Amino acid sequence: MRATERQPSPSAPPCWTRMVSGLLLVLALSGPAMADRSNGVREAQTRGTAAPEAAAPASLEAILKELASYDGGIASDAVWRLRDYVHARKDDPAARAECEASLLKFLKTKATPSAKLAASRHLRVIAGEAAVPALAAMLADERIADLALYALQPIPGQLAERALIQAVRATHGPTRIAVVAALGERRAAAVSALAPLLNEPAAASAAAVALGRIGGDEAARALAAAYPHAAGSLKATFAAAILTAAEAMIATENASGAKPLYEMVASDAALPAPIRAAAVRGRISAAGDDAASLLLETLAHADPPIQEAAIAKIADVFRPDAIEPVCALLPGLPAGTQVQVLAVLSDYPGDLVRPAVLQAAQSGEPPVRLAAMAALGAAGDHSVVPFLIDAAARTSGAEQAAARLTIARLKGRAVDDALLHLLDEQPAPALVGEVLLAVGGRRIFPAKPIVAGFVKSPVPAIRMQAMKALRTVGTPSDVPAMLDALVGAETEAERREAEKTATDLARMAAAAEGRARAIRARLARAEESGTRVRLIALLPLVGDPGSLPALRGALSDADPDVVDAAVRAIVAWPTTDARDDIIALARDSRNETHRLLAIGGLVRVVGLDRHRHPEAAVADLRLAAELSWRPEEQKLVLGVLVQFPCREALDLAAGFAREAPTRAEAQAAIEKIKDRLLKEAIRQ
Amino acid sequence: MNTHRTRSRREFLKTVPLALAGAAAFPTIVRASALGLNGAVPPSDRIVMAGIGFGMQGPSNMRSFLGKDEVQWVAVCDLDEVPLDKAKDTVNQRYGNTDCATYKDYRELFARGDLDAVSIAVPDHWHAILSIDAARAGLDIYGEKPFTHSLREGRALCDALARYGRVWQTGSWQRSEDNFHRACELVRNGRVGRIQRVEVGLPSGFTDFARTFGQETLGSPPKGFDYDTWLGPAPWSPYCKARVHMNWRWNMDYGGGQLMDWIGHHLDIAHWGLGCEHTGPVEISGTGEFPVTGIYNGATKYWVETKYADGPPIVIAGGYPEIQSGTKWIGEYGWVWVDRGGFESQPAHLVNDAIGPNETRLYRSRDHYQNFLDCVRSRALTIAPAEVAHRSASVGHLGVIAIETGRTITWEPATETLIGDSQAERLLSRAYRRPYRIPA
Repeated sequence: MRATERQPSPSAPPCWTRMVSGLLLVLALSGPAMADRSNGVREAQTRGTAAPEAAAPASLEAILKELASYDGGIASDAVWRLRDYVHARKDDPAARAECEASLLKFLKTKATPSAKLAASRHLRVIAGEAAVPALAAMLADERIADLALYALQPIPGQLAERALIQAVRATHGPTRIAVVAALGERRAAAVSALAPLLNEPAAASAAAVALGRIGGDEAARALAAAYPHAAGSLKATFAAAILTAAEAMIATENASGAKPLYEMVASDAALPAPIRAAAVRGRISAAGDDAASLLLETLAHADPPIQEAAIAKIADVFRPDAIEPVCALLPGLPAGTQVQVLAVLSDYPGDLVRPAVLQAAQSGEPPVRLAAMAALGAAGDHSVVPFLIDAAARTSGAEQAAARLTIARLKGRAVDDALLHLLDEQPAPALVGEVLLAVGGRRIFPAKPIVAGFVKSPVPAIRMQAMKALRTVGTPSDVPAMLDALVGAETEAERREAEKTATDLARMAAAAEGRARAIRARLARAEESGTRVRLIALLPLVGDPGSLPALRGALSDADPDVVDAAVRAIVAWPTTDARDDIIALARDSRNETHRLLAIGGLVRVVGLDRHRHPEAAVADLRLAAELSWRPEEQKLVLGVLVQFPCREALDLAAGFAREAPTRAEAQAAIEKIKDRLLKEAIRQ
Repeated sequence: MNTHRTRSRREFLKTVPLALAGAAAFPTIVRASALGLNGAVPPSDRIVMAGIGFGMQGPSNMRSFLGKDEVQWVAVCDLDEVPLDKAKDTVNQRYGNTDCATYKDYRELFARGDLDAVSIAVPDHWHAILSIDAARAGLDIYGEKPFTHSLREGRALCDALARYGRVWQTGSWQRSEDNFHRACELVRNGRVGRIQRVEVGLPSGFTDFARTFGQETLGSPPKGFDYDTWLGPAPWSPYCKARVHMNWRWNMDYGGGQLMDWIGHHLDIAHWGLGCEHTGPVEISGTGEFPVTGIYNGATKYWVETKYADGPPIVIAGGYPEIQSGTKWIGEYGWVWVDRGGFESQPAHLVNDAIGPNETRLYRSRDHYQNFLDCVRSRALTIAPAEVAHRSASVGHLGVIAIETGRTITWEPATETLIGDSQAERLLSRAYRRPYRIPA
């Protein structure tokens, strides 16, 4: 690595010495293979500084002399010294001219192709008009023609353009084709030079593409005149070039110029469908006042690929207040076409397209119904709420999913009111369930009392749906009610719903301390074993540190189920607050199941704190490994170990690598740790 | 499903899977699996696909498509027989037959005439030529980022895709991930107030994907690998292992270094959050550091600053610890940060904030590949369409140019022109090696 004016990072972490020693450690352990993978980093410039010349500047002649033998493989410092040299002079006209002359001269030497490529990269940026004659002359030399064009094509100005035009006549074969393409890329005023090539089989394709790119009336005329005489694949290329030229006319509001071009291509049935479809799109773009009727006619009568082209133009042709004819056409179109048109209609104002979309939502064709339902998400309002709720309640699968999604996306407070209004009419349970789902999905917070009321519904499905909704519109004050629901749940599914709702609502409290107060209070009153077990299981899900003393107390409960629940709650604790409790269980529990659970819990807890000092974390993992004899836990240790790259981690993994059951995982861990140490050290 | 040659799209869509038809009208996808249609899509209704390029991302993309019952993968194409054969075996294993065709020349693949779509994962310097040819052949395209190797190629590809009406999905798959989508919706809805500045943290250095670092001894390409075509429009250089598979991206003749490799991810997300996906910066400056040895010449460490006419400045950096990996929007009242596997905010509760029905909702896709397939049927825009990908890549291209010239450059996003800098202007495109040229 070449050291230059590198600025230190303003936020370099304080542990850099450890990481450097980590690098040394990794390199020592890995041998030369690892060292080879690192890549030297060179600083061309640093932030806020101009391009530097790091070392004492050599002469350009000396650099080029060294560069001349560069074979394109590993190092050539001369490549970079040349870059520095030229960069330092590129903005000084005199110095730049000196570079330019030397580099041009270099291209004619016997230097290697890779060396010449290095030179031409700089000519690409700095070469001026003075370089044009030399570069143009080099086009005749097969060996360096590519490099010459690499530099010549981008040189601005008339001189380079004229040189390229002259080169059309002076060159042949692939070089001539490349020159033609270069003129096209430059959008050069070269129509008269290129048009005759349309009749030359070897050059016609390149000339057509270039003329299309150059565009304008003259190029278009040349292409149109040659088009009828083209055959085979050349015909498609000519047509594509004509389309390109016509697009430029449309962009400059010359629709009358583009129109005949598009019509010529669109009417040629021999062309591939994608090109004809492109021409149809163009025809509609160029049709002016006739665009709407042309589009409708195409939509109603054309083949699918061409219809597709027309559909893509609807948004351009029909203003919002003029979309009615498309809506009127919709029901009569084939199902697939309706699907595509509905996608377009969803971007139009709802008031104008809603009736047509709603009608389509009741189509006999399932794809159309689905597409229309989705379109209602944008085009619908409160008036479509009853339809969508009904659809969601009586369908299943994708149609139900689409209806629900659309309800969730409808805009406006009136939609919320319409949903709640449905509940006033005492609808069937399936409809109530859908409304409750929508209330949750739309976050209709004022509806909380209504939702809470349905938690006590005699219908299980409604209770479940109400609990789901309460998870979004409820607050921590609803936790006691959810605990009631938990205790009174009739099925396991309902119990799980109540658990999830209770814990989600408890976690909404801003401060962790006290979040589980309601649960603890309920636990203190509970007598039945099953209830206590279920309430204890909620505590780690909420994670209130104030619950840990209660859990510790439960460890000595007379009821073994309660003890088991407490152990499981402690080892699943979501923060590192329970670390000491977990270690105590792992060391001292006489129940082997609990001890193994605790070992797993310890490994998990270590993994929670990624910013911990690696050596300390590894010490805990070593303890976990020592407490277990099973490969299962040891593999868990290895999985977390890679998060804490340090020598101790490598030592621990190396120990596992000596044991057959953990060898593969240990070796993978060692590789990861080494990689991380190396990357971090390089980063430092 | 090829509608142009086998049956009409009209006929086909009569039996189109419900899920896909649903997506047609609205860019939120309902999967075929939701319909219980797995394994039940008739062969004639499947989207016929092929893949080009299996050196790195191609196999992964293909496997994702192979997992969709509505896809019939019929062919693979690569210039190297080793990945080509592996890809063929993967397809044949999936279908339990030996039907997958192999091609080394993509033009022969396109000439089959039965394809609907193609997945392209080739080195950047081949993106434009291949994709334009695919578009003209009437194929929809799942293509990798960065969109193209040069900015001018990007415009040419966008124009071609629009001309031929093709569906394009960029491999900027983060858009289909929940955390990125949510982060962008929070920013769009002003949860942290007006955005003051955006920080985009990208990787630095080079990653030795192919384990070929240092293997720069020149030699003959292995048998079965068409190296000359692999070089394609790039300047000729001698073969060495380190130059080609996977690690080509560190050489500016074929790729764009870490900056271009990642610009289509985190900067794309930055644009999405700001809603400036169809424009670009007006002023760009940058610095970079480069390797001192070897054949790689992309920046290993870089700092690019951009100014937008109607938006906050965006800093894009690789190798600067003060710029966190991912995308961070810093607003008047806090910040939102998102990365792969990470999503945080200040205030912290914002990450759980729901976006209400009356707020701005962004295009939703939960499966990047499914989104592409759905749009192939519906012709709707994908979640990562061409123009958006081009604008993301443009910021990277301009950053590279600013680093290369060492100057602050001025850009006119509407016309895509550089103002007042003829040296920088030249770097917007590259002359191709003979006989390659940009198709129409």
